[in-house]
Amino acid sequence: MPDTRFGAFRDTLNRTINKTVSRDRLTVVPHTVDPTRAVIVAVVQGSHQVFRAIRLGNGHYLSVRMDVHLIPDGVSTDANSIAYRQSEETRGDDWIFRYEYERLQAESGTYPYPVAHWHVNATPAAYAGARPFPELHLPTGRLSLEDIIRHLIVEHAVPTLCPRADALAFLDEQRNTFQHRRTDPGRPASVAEA
Amino acid sequence: MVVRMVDTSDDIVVLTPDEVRHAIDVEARGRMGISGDEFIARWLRSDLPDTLAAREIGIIARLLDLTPYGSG
Repeated sequence: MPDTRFGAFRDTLNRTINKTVSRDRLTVVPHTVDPTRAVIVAVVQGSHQVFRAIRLGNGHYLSVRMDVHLIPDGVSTDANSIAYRQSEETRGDDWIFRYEYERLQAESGTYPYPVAHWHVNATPAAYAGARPFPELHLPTGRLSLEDIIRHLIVEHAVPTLCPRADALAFLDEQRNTFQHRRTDPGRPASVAEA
Repeated sequence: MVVRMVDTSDDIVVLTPDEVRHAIDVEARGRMGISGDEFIARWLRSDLPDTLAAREIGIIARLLDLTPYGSG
């Protein structure tokens, strides 16, 4: 069985999702060789489409994939992708925005982009760059799943499973826990090492 | 072929390397029009477009005993 720290991390993420915007759940998929690594993702068992996105109350979807590894007292994220999209049909190009975090690749010294960044599936009329705007890596700070779900509730009118104020208060509480458990170099100086 | 889960519980799914490669193949063909083998070869060369599909499939590829990271 995978290390229980993976399950605890998954349960924290699922608590955030299941108390606010969806009853869908994330799953631990252990690395095929290395017992200290795993991917957290929603899974459809026995299906051709093995991995899926989380269905939200407005009919849109949140696609979450996280590459994580064990640390002495928990789990640390090496990379993630959190995407808000219109449909579950992954072949479509109907994603709206996506947040990405890429610590491992950034630490290699060959990654030219911000460790944490946004992609936005739109192109401003005034943009004249050579690279398609949706491919640009727009810099941001380290964000939590709670930050992104809060944004969806407040600005995309994603329905909540409980009263909206309760959901937002829960997310704020969870977010504070995330900030105190962060293990990346960019964590706030006042936060103790996780 | 339907991917077989060798060990399942509500929130843990253990996949063999072949099952991971099959899942990558299904996603790469469906989302990018390339085979799983081609995806992995290009991922190892960091030669993939900076798309949501490449990013999401690349995270699944990290389940295999390979090294690089593929796309931004």
